[in-house]
Amino acid sequence: MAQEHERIGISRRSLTTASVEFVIVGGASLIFIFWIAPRYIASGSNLGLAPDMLPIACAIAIGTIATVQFVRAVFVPARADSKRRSSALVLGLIVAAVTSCLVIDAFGLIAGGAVMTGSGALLLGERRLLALLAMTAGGASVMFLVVWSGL
Amino acid sequence: MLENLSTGAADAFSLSALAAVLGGILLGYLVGVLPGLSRPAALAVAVPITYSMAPISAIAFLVGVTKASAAGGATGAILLNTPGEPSSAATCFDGYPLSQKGEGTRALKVALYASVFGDLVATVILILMAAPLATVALMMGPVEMTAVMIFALTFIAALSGPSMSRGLIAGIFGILVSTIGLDPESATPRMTFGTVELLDGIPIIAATVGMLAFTEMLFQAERYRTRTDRKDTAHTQITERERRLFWSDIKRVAPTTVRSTGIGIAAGIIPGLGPTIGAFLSYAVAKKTARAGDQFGQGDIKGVAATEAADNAVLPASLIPLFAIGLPGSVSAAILVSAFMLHGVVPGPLVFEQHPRLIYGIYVSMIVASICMLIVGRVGLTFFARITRVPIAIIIPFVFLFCIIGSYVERDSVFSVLTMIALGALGYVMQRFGYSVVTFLIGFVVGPLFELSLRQALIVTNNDLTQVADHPIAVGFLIASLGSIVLFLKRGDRGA
Repeated sequence: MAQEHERIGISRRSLTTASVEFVIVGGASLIFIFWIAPRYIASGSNLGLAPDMLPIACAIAIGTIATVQFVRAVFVPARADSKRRSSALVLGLIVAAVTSCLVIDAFGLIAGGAVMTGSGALLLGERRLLALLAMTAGGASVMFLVVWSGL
Repeated sequence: MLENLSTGAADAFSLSALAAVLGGILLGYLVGVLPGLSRPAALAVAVPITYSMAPISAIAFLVGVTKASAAGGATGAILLNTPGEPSSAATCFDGYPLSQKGEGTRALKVALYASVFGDLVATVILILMAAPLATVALMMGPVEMTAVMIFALTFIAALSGPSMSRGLIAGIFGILVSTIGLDPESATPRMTFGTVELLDGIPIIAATVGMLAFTEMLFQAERYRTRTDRKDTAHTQITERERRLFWSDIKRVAPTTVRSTGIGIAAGIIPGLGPTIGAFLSYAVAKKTARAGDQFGQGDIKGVAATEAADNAVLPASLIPLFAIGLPGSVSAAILVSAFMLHGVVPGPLVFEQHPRLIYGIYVSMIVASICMLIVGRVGLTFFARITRVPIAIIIPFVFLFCIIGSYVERDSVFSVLTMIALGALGYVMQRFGYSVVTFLIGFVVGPLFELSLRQALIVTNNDLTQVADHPIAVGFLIASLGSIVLFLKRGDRGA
């Protein structure tokens, strides 16, 4: 089977990606249909459309399309993504955003703004102290303007 | 119509509306010129600024942002070979070579004039077409509306990325996410997981800001880090050889501009095509119909005019289906829907009966915005060229900050910000796997309307699907949806 895949131009990597994708999307649809929808949507006797009908129909449609897509991926060659990624940076930026959000909750908008721009610049590779301070002050100033203007 | 236009003009010429247009134009130019922040992302971040504005000023401001960012995107494309907007990428083909020849200012002028022309003509078409189409749309019942929405989502899914199946999944997922909150009829909580904040559903601004601006900045940051050459911009000092635009140039460029405007209008009306496809398509047509002496690809002002006229004609034209049937044909139009809804206006055919003054006020504001764009663009030509030099490392943290502000002010709660971040992360993962966030957002925005239409359609047909056969328009759209699925799958689901 693997040889056949190589012969028709499907790399093992792209097939693995397709399988992982199918497991995630198809699995999520199944979890939604059999666990989330029954637990978190009360079915009622609405006129025309029950509250859980559209969400479940959407999940079924997603699962079906994911299955068709996987079957196609087995037979139709696909290019594997060979781009270099910097997932650590992306994760770092998400953590910085969540942190600044928590700082906003605890200490207010100005402190949160300062944390966001300061940590963002640091993560992007800025190491000059003056530049970091300027970015932090810039973020705090923007937030100060937001608070001051009553936006 | 003339009476409505005159009352609308009175509102559009109020000081606050004019200031909003000007502010929007300035912000839009800034966004367009700066590489990295796309038009929809900027629009998503700009929506929260309009909370305290009157509806006419708010929409005028956003229209200004959208129009000017489209025009401003050409500056980076021409001077640095770095388009400020994806839709301006095609402008690089001839804009940058022109700049290398020492004709950068000339190219910028052509881009500006073509942009304003395309935009103005498309606005006039919008004014003439939307109201009559809305009258036709009012004759359509829920069965037809459901079919139209299925068709539009299918078409958008097919055109939004390399894989139609992934586009469809993204669009349906958007509809699924839009059902979170209270059921509109029975007020039954759906997928709220016991969270009070989710009873109102996912905040629309958090969704648009997270999926567009936040996600895009994550990608920009990634690109910035993985770039081997860390220079933010490549500045080379080029002596300007020719800055003026002659009458002969205008005469030469005029037919291309007119034709490209038509292509841009078509790309705006057809759901899913959008400005990027419009601009590239227009460039391809211009190149194909080139005359002897034309130098496409080597620095021809015709190439610049073709892409910019089409790019700018798309937005006004994409408002035609939005106003006529309530269907956003592009992601910018979807964001405008959220802005309308924030101000208590639901776009659709009834808007001409319920808010005629507002709609015609918006029309006049759009024309004012085009004129402002011309003046601001012409006066600030040199200034905007300098802004292209702001490093992306400074832009990214500040855009993150604006994302946080935008989602926070919607509900004054940290929950909105966390939702925005979560959707941003989801959007990043979706895009990495080739799932279009644009289709997701359009599904998310039309979701409530789709559910309402579907519910009404089921009541009308008595839950009997065979009764759909009694609605020929609906049948036509459903066949068209199936046809487009087959057609696009036949042409190849490249990413599957």
